[in-house]
Amino acid sequence: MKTANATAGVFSAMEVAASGLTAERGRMNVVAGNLANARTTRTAEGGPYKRLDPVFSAKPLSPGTFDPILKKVETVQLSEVRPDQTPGTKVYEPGHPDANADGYVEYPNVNVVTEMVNMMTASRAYEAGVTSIESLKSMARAALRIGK
Amino acid sequence: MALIDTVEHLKTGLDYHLQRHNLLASNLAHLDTPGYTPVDLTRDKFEGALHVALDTTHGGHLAGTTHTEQGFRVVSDPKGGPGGDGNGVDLDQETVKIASNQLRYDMIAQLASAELSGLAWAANDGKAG
Repeated sequence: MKTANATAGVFSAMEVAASGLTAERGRMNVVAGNLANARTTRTAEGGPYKRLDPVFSAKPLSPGTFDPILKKVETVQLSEVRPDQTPGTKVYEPGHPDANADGYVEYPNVNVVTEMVNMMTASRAYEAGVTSIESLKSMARAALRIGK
Repeated sequence: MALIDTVEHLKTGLDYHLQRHNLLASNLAHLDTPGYTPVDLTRDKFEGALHVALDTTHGGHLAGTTHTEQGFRVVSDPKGGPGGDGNGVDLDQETVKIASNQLRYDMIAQLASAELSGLAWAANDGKAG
């Protein structure tokens, strides 16, 4: 359900945080795919696997709002997954079934260390999102205690 | 207008959030069901549940005591884009919805309890509560 927020508040902030969680989880999927295919030499398009890059983009939470703050509040979305076109490393393996005429095999342009770092950033960003949701919840509960 | 009417109106809000919680919980249960589209509950006359108390006190669109015809509508959630297996449930969106739904429920519950304690205070001649 698209809740029309009139002003920026706890619930709009939660929606924004949720979009961040979704995006980071999508990024985690992309990273996992890259790591899993670090040695894949055959793809449907032909040639070795190309590492994928997640592209995030900002999207206004309530585009039609008149509230000046809420107008600037933007959710994030994983808008595109783009293949990285840098060439992969060529290894001399004449016995490999995918070796070219000179005996070289092109391996994917996946750098395991880069992917691990991406994975850690994604997981930390996800945790940050969860923490912000937790603190929003405690803010709302604190507001409920005002009347007591 | 009877004394307890405000609480009755708030009850509609509580009902709404309870039923919505049931639907959201079933969305989570279908996290891995291929082809499943998540559902949500909408109400025609308010976007935030707290409007229930405001709207119903001067509007004719919701009878305070007829809770069978509450005007809740189950809709399929257009927000979740289907994944590879046609399943549209987004774990993060659903859990956040459940959390915010619960917060709204708590808020209305607190309003109702404040309302009732005000009545109790009046019934006790302003001495207790």
